[in-house]
Amino acid sequence: MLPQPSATVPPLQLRHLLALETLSAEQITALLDLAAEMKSVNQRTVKKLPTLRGITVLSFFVESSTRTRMSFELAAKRLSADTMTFTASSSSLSKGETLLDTALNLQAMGPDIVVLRHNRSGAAQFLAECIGCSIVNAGDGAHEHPTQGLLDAFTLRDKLGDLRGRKIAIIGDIAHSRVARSNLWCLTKLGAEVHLAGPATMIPPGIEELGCVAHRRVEPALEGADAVMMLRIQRERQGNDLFPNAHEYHRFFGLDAERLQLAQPGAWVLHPGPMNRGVEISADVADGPQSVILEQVENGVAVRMAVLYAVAATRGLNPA
Amino acid sequence: MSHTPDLLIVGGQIYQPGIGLGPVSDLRVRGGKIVELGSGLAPAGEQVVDASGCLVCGGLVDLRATSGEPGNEPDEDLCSLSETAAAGGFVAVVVGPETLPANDDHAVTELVVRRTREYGICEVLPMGALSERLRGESLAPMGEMAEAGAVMFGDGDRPVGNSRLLRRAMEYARSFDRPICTQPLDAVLAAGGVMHEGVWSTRLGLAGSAAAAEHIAVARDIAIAQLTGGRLHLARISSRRSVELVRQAKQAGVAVTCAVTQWHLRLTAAALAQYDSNLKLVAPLRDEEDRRALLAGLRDGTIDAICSDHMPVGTADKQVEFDEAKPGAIGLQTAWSLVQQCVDAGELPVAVALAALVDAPRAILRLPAADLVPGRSATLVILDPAATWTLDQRSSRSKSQNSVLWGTQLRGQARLTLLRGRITWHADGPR
Repeated sequence: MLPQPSATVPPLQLRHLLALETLSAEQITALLDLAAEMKSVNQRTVKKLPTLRGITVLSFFVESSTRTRMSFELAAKRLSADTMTFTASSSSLSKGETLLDTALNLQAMGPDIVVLRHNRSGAAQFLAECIGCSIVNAGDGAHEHPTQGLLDAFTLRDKLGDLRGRKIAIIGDIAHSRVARSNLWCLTKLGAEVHLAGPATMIPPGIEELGCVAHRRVEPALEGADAVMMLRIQRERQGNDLFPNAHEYHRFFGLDAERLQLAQPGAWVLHPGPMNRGVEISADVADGPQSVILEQVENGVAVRMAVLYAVAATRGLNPA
Repeated sequence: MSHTPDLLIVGGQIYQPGIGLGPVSDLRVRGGKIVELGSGLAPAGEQVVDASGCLVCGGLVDLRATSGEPGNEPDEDLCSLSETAAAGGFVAVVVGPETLPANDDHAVTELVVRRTREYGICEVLPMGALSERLRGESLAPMGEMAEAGAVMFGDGDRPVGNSRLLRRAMEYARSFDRPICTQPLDAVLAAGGVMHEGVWSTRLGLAGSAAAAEHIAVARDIAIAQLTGGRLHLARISSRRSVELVRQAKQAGVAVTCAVTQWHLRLTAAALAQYDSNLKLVAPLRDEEDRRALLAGLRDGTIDAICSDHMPVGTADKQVEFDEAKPGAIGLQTAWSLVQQCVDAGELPVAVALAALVDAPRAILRLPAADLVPGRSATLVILDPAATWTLDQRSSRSKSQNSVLWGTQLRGQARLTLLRGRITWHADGPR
């Protein structure tokens, strides 16, 4: 009943998971294959493996996120790890303790793996250099959100098979999106053709040098796409100067049924959540037959199980 | 280290301002003065210093350093700053006004000057604030500060947003024959930026500060210098376009000078790949084309000086998330090593490097040129290009450790630094 990575899967050396940029296509594929096995566990009546028994996974969430935290905790629990959670707003941290001091205190409690969510880019890298546990990056600022990238790739591979040559559109606030960056690295490594689009205020300089095509309107990105990933628009950013208002955003950059017709017939629609219905995505598309948004959530648990498993194995924590 | 020994410095290659590198010669120093320059000088009771393979030049002069004293002595005090400077071959250092309290008053200026004269290890030359409390609202009492020893005026790293105030400051400073020093930045355009805006800020997910935010301010500051006839010194420029603007202004006869930091000559934004907060600098590291333009600007004289950009920051402000880290790096002790890397890489002729570290800063400060000729005070440095050393707890004289070079082995070092005949640093000496 235990997932035994098959002999064809190369060994996964993963002391931390900080970013997808630094992983090879082989490593990503191995993680996705492992996640597929985990997903089959999740579809059983008894959804539990003894693999990480005795191992402690600490969720350290400096930035609030309900769904990612729950997904990681469920993943850890399904692998029989002990879990604990520490949440703090960034401001309370900066008023009192530094990130380093908090982390050292948490480390003293002896976790094996720390899952970190932080609103500052580079925070996961910083922690990995400072403390001895394995760090799994659950999103750092606008830098990366590697497990989201993996679960999106998993979902796309599930729907499209081999991603080589497939056109994937990612639409929204690319400049401030860690999801966009992780997806860009992950999908290009798997051979997909990534097209980014959004208002020019949201397309960061030099992004094409990272191996994608960037558009200032959504239509050319959508044309012939095999899948479309819509990014969450931070409505709280509206006071900001990136776009005039939600109504205008939806008119020119949102995904509705009519615009979706530019893509391949049956093109899949993804969204990392939480959605702003009527802003970046219309309700009929979000709930429509092409939407795989809830499957993404389901796959997230399997992918995070695979990541925790691989990290624990690399640390020699002898997963059963 | 407090003695003024008689020395015979033999076998070094002598650099003279305006002339460049001369032949190998010997220098006789007695009673704190140079008494003889020639070849094959015989010792007459002096201590002999073998300088073969080394460069001998007037001591290095830095136009942009930061002191912790007054107010932040745990990071650096004026004594440790002086010793760090001397160990880097510097004999004079301009320190910014961003102390606690800010140097916007002659009392603070006097404190800095008096303290460092007592130590006698390095001339520490205060930059007085341009505006009261560095607020950019009303003029600070420049006359009294000039009297107390302030060599230039500026609000340190704070951009002067108010063009009218900058105009008045540049006019007023003319009455005291002092330059106005700015750190060019359009603060509104740059708001939030923690590194150069470009492919690396995109990759790292860090907020960028566009190069335009710098050269908009360079253009404005030059326009105000032109308007007022005042002297303008740009503390650190970092972009290709800034170099072009200064070049054009100089051609048009505007009294503008500028400096580049040691870091910008060797590094680009790519060095931030691991989010090292020691590379978060006031003027951000930019692209390779900017780095090349800065080197070209030095070679053709558009950029006058190289500054250490020495800025001590304690670990509490550095071992934090990159966004939260205070900018700055210690640099007085490594400046020559980094400049020598450019020399060794064929990017900078050694005479240009020395002119930018010795002659140009003196000219900007209206100090007499550092000719190594009989009759002049023995203020000089022996630079050993072959020396290897490591910046670490043992070698560093600074109280702070915020340098990307910490723990790194470097080539090129000051062997011996003399300030008016006094040995202020001896690489082979005690400690």
